[in-house]
Amino acid sequence: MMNSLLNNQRVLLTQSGVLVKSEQGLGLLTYSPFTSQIYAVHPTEAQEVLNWLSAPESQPPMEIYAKTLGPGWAAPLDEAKFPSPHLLPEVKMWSSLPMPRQPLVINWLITGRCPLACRYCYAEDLMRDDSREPRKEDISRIGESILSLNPLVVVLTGGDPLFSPHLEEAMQCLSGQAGIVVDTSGYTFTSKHIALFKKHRVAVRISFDSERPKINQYQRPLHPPYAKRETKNVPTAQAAIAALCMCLDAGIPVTVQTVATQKTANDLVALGDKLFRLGVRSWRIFKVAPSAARYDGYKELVGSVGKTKSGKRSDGPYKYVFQKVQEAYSNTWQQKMAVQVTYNETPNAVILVGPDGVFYSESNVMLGKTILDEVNPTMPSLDSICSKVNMTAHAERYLNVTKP
Amino acid sequence: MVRSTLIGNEATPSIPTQWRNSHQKQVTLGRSTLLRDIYRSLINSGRSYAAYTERDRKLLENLQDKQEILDPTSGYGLLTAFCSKMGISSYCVEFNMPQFYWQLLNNPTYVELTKSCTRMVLDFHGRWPRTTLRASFSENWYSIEGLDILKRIHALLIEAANQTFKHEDVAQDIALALLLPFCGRLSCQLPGDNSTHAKLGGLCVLNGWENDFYLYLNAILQRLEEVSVQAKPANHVMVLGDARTIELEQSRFAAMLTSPPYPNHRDFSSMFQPEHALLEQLGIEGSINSRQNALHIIGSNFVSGREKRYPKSKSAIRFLEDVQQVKRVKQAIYDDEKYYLPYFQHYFCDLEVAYANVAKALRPVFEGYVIVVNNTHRGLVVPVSDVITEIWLDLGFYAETYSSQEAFHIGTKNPRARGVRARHTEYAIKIWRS
Repeated sequence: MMNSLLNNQRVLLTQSGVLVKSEQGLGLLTYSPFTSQIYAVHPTEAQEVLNWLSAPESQPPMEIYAKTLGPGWAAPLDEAKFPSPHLLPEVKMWSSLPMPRQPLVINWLITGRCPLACRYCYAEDLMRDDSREPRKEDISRIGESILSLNPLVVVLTGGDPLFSPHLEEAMQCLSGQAGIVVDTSGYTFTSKHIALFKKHRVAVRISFDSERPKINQYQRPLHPPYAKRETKNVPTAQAAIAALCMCLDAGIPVTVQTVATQKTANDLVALGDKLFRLGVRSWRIFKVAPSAARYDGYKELVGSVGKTKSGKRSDGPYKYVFQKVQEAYSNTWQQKMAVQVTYNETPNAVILVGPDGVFYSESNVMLGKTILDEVNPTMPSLDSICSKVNMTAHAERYLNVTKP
Repeated sequence: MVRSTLIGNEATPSIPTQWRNSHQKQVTLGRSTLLRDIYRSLINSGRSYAAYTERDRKLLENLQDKQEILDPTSGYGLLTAFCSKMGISSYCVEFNMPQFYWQLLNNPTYVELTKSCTRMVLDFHGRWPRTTLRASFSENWYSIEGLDILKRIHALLIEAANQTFKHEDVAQDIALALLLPFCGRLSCQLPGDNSTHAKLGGLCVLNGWENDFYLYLNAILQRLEEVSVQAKPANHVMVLGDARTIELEQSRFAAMLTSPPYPNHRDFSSMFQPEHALLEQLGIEGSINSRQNALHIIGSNFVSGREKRYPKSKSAIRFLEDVQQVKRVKQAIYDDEKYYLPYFQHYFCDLEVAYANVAKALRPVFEGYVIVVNNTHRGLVVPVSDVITEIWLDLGFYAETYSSQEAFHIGTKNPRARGVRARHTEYAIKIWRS
């Protein structure tokens, strides 16, 4: 049975709770709902690791597997290690990263509604259009369409998925068939969400750019119509931290997502130290990326990156700061916190599904969304996906193979 | 598991296991303790970037026969540390309260009592404040919750100090001295772009603060142990006061080793804003938390609203004129007029006032050294050494450059500066009268 799994490329929920799928060349792809981390296990070790994940009382083939795939079921979460990139058992076994034939991660924008209007939002062109909002009966159709592509993980995003009345339906549709991650600003997060997330083993990603309230509010302001209705006017940073603490207290795996701009870059290392001490075990940093939806906002936030007046190329604050982040990760955080820096420089590396079920990729070169299959936009073929999406960059992005 | 050599299990019967496990023989406060960098450096190594070097210590050998050495702008108090090792008495004056309290914490005169007090606070760990909150948030230096914990720690520190020290005033001071290096851990600040400064507002991580406090107290014990082991009998006086106005005993000092703040745009009151804010919250007089405070520290970069002043030193006047002759872009001219020129004027005037005041306390037979670094502005060398030499000559002393050496990036704002901007020359100026 195990051998057949390695051949059929479908996602399997193992006895351990870790989701796995086989991918030719890449070996065994794993997603742990305990740590919300994706790893690739080298093909030469894939079978042994699969056997261990399927019989949790057995011993892992190497200790590194217990520390990376085992936390939460075979080892205490506190003993987790987070090597980077996410290639097991060690990066030197991988001479190159083979191109996957199926998506690792699909981002499903289940709603276009959001209480925030972030200056760099890449999805604004798919948002705030009620005519595109899915009805209850659309959810299972879109979910099935997504699952037919065998993604290891589906990210429920938006807009803010907590604003969707169909969040639970979407989770029910995906539960056990793919890892579920919810992307949120945390602005409307409540204890009801905690119960729902625990039920479906959902990992949460909370966006939080700066611990300085004014800076976070500048980059991630409230959407004006929402701000008018909102009477408490809690700063967006405070709401995010409150949601983060609720998740940590409830034992829900949580990733903090931070967009690095010229306003936040210098504060990243200090923020990382605080997140580390707060108990955050996963931190993802994005270099702010151009997007057709919010190009003006991008230009405001990116600072001097690109060509300067003198004609020389400037890396802005990124090169220096990301080096410092890397040093802090190597020296301090690595033992307890995964850090993933996403440079967003390779176009068409992500797969998006709009609220209306249309599949897109986002280019940061041509600036705009590309429909993956013009003939069948809500049920694209794998061939059309592979022709429009840079699948190598896609794998690099989610396996944390960062290329500055 | 390795236990501390300083704290035995008997002394701390119920320290939680996980603390003991994290407790190494040699306690080094790492970045993850969230203590401010400046204090981590002071606790771990005993010095910060603005402190005497071993080379400066050698100057003390010229003053070994003197009974007491004065430092009227004593900063972190490294003179005391050097004097203590050599068995010479020291007299340190410092205006910036957090720096003064750091000196006091390291005072060899009190070191054994301070160690006892620190151990007692460790013994009180069952009474340390508890919180179930992971984090709190504020746009000020402290959140309500962080400040509440600090006030409770302060009360415990006072209790321990009162039981250890005979004099209530000293006990109060030692309690504050033990509190200030730790307060950054529970503040809502983050390191400034200029690394020694702090940015206002942010996240206060309450999660695990007790563990950090435990490590901090052990690191302090370790530091005090070093002070204690190296100390030779001598008397060390530390006074909170302003070199420009303090009334020192006339003709008391036969020797001086000092180094003024450098005009490198680092403001010592701004560097300690979280500490000053706590002092203000605790109602301690003398904290410099307001930009409008008239008693600006020497080298303060707050110039707006201050009365215009004109230095008397010819070297200073020439430098200020030269800056105005430099070909500059419009913005640079504006910046010079609004900020840099007034800044330098105040700096030089403050030095003149401070040294004139200090000179009254020096004996007719006197020898001293002033260590300064000349850095640059608009490609011109800021002639601090010349100005200081001239001030002392005008005060009726002999003064000359005793030694000089090229240095790079001493306190410079931009570590990537190259060429003349990166050039700093350190001078030891000898001052004497016989």
